[in-house]
Amino acid sequence: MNPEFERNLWLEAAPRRIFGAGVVLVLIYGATALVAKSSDPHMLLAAFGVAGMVVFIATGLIWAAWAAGSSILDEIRGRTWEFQRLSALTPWMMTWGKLFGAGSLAWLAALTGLAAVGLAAADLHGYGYALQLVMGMIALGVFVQSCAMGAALIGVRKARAEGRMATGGAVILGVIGGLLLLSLFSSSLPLGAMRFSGGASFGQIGGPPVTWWGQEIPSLTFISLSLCAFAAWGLAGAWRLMRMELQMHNSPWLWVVFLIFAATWRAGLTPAMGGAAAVAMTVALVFIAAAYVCAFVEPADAVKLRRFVAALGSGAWLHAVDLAPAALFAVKLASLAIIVFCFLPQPFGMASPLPSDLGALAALAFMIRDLGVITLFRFGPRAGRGDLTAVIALALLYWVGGLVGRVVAGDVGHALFSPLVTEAAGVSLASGVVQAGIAWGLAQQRLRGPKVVA
Amino acid sequence: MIVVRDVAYDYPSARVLHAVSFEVAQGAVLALVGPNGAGKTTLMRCMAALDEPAEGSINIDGLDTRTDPRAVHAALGYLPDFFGLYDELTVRQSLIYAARSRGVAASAAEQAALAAAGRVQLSDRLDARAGHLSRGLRQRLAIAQTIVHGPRVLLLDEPAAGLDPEARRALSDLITRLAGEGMTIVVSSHILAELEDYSTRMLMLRDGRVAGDGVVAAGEPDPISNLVRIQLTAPRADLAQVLAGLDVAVESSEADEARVRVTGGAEAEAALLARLIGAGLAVRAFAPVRRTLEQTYLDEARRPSPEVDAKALKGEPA
Repeated sequence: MNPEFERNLWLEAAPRRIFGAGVVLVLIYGATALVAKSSDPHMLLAAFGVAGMVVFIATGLIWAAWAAGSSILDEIRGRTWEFQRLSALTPWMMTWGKLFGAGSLAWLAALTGLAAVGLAAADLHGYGYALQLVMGMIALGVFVQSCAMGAALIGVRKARAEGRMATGGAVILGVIGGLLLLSLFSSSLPLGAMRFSGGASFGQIGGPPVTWWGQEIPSLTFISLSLCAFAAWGLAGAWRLMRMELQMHNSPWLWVVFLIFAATWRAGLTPAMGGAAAVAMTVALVFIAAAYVCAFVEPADAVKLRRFVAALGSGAWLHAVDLAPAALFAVKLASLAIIVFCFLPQPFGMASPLPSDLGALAALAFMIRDLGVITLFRFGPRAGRGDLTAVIALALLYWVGGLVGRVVAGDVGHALFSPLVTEAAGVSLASGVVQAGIAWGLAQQRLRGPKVVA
Repeated sequence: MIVVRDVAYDYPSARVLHAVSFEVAQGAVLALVGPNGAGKTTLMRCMAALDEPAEGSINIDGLDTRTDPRAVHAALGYLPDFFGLYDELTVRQSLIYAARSRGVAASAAEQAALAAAGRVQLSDRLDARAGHLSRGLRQRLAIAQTIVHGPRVLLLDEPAAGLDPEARRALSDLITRLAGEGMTIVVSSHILAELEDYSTRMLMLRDGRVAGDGVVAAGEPDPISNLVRIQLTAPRADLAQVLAGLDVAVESSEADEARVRVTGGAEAEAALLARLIGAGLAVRAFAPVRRTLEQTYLDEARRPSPEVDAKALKGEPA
């Protein structure tokens, strides 16, 4: 047995704890039976299904996710993390050992919920439906757990770079971030499917089919398969982060493949009437969003960044690729998507919500400026406050700058601080390029190496 | 066994290790000493492949920490200065987990755990929870976890901190035994007297640089002064005159003890001892004066640091 899984079982699934959890579950399901007050087996099963869903959300999503994040943070707090980093376990063994070992008791409880939901769904809609539903729920649980563990690992790396102790806030942010990602991605799904992503009620799933790249797919099938894919990516992400914690070097190609997968998945949901330009813009937006996330999520490791620049300078390209910030790949892909967008014809005969070519290029320039601003503050002397300071700085630039610009010079003034002013896209582009240059000029000062006395 | 070449380590705003180079032979016990902030812990973490140096290379038992960190992890045991234990696990469970997680086969893990517990005298506490152990016993358990897989290299950062004298003696004995079995050991500590018991080499770091002549022998006769200490069974008022009459270079002399210079190595020392006895001196003790770690440390500490030298050359205040 995987020693890490076994150790977590020793701690989590002790007989005393299993007995305690069992008692609580018996009380919940017993109370459900009492409240249902029905002799109709269908009604009783439906009531158990609702209770099962609540149990699953409480244990399979919330408790298990917290346990997965804590499996890293508890090691930090207990000063055992270095001991673990020195183990001979592979990153994958460490990842799944923690993920499912730390959440073992939570998953035991969640399985009762899954069984109740599955039986109720089978009774209402048939076994095929129930199977897809349960599969989707398991995948959602794995995805949320992976996000929590990944966030904890990111939190550890960020805290180390900033010279502080990692906290549980990272786990909460990771879970919220993961659910936000699902929510954003599913925002164009049919209503019933959207409810599923929000976890509202299993009985309401089954809206109109989802059209994905022109193919009509039953909504539950699409959601369940998508959740399985995202769960697999979540596991892959946690595994890659674990590799880095164990001092192993990651090549960036899996990250690039994920970016392409995410963009392809999301672009498939773009309405067909938008044409290729809408697809290209959707793809670009996914990459731009990924660049912003990376800019905040990656540790502010000035030493690694200097080594990246040095590798570039010495022509060691492969080494430079390994050291490159993850945001750089998203920026390159976003740039490529926007260039493609500029060459594609705009949809004809409708009021297009798409930006003009100049507007798209301005958005790219503003993104590069923003990354410079984020770098400037995150690599400053008070790295621990860098994230918040960068957010405040960006808010000031967009909102206060835009407001002042509008008051002083109308749309043109506003365009100086926003790429979204369609009336003056050229001004936005020029302003974005100049601001990006200034931001990166200042950020570059922060990345200089320490003075070394010979 | 351990080869460190031109290692530099950077924090974002400062370089904390500067071109550190040294070698440690197999079976040696290296005392890594230096004032607070000298870079000892950072160097140890780099050697344990937990942190990556900005420049230079570290080779542990033929393995490069940069290109093969996981193999380095498997080859060594590292006990950080602030370590933790799984308080809810028993000593037995802790050691079995440590063995299994360090690559010991499941079938051999129990045996390895028992052996490690025996080496640190914890065999009678196997079913006690780690959280219920005293400070000294926790330290022993941590060391047992570190050596349970039979590492070839052992790195101990301040292992005796917080231990009582008895536990320190036990630790000292354990390190001596492990070194005798061929394990290469690096120990960082501020307690020089304790390092004296088992260290064969010493390396001093100062301001992130190797001080003095790099790795020097510890606890061996002082090759520079060639001093020999003579003690008599009873005081002799004319001891200095007797020694002068024997044509011995006297460094210092009291009624029952003297320090003399002897050149010519062990044979010259043996000849001098014969002459002393022949002159009717009741010699109780006759031993070369060893250069203690503390002396070595203080000698190195008194040398001006390269940074101070550089500033002095530029006319800046140190």
